Amino acid sequence: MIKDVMPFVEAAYGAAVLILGFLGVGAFLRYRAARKRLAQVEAQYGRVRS
Amino acid sequence: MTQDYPNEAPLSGMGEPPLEIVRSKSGAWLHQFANPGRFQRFVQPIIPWLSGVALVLTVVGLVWGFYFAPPDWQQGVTARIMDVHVPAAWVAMNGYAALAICSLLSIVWRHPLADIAAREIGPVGAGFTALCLITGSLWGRPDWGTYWVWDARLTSVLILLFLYLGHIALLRAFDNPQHGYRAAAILGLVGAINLPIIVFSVYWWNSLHQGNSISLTGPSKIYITMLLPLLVCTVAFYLAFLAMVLARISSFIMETKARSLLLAAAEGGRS
Repeated sequence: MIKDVMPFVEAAYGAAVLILGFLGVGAFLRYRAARKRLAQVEAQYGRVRS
Repeated sequence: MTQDYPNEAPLSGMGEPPLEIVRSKSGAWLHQFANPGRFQRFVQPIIPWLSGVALVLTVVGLVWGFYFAPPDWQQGVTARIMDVHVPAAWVAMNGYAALAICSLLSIVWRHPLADIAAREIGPVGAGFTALCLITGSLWGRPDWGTYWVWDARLTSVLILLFLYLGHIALLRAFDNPQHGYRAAAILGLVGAINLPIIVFSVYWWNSLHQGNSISLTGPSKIYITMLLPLLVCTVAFYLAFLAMVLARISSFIMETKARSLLLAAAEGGRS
């Protein structure tokens, strides 16, 4: 029987912050980079018209 | 600021699904959303708001669950892991259901955004599944005396993680991306058979894992003070999932667009 269970709770919440943070920050940085890149390319070559 | 795309802008960059739309009466309403320009105009104003609300709710839910949720009379404070574990499990399963629906749309109607959506759901869903397994394992050690047992619920969720990882790998495994999208769509659809197995595994087989404590149709077995942070975390995780997937889809479309422009410029320069 484990007496001090708090480290398990802390590890679970830590894992949540880590994984959600990784996914969220990753998505945000990629989104920002994609917007910036597209704006640069469009400024240089114009917008796509089909 | 939203990106301005023409109504029928093709996404014909290297390695992306073609956006020729196979129009049929049965799927006509779906194809309104197949246009990347329309999709971008719709989601780009939403993404910052959705992300902000998801972030605030996630912080509120995690702080509420970790510091203020009351300990269970039997499990003590380990019951607080529930506020992370259960929402992660729900999002992981429903994320895969969304992936399977996108696979169906891709196979039946060749819906181009469905391929992109399935592609971008994969990594996010895998992350939530991993979170579910990690937190479940950390909950199991103090309560069951072990981090892992090969029982039906745990094993079927592990298979869900492998399905996500397999989908990610298969999609990128072919020289011709169209073959990758088609193979991954078949895997996505076939893998959906695992979802009812996960849900009913605790009833079909003897399991260490407990049965459902919350039902959409019946009363909850959880007391309200423990239920509220769980509900906040659930809403937060769903919104976070949605925000991340929409941002990733939008990013993919913009990356493809930029590549197409560069390619067109390079070809124009050569000719």
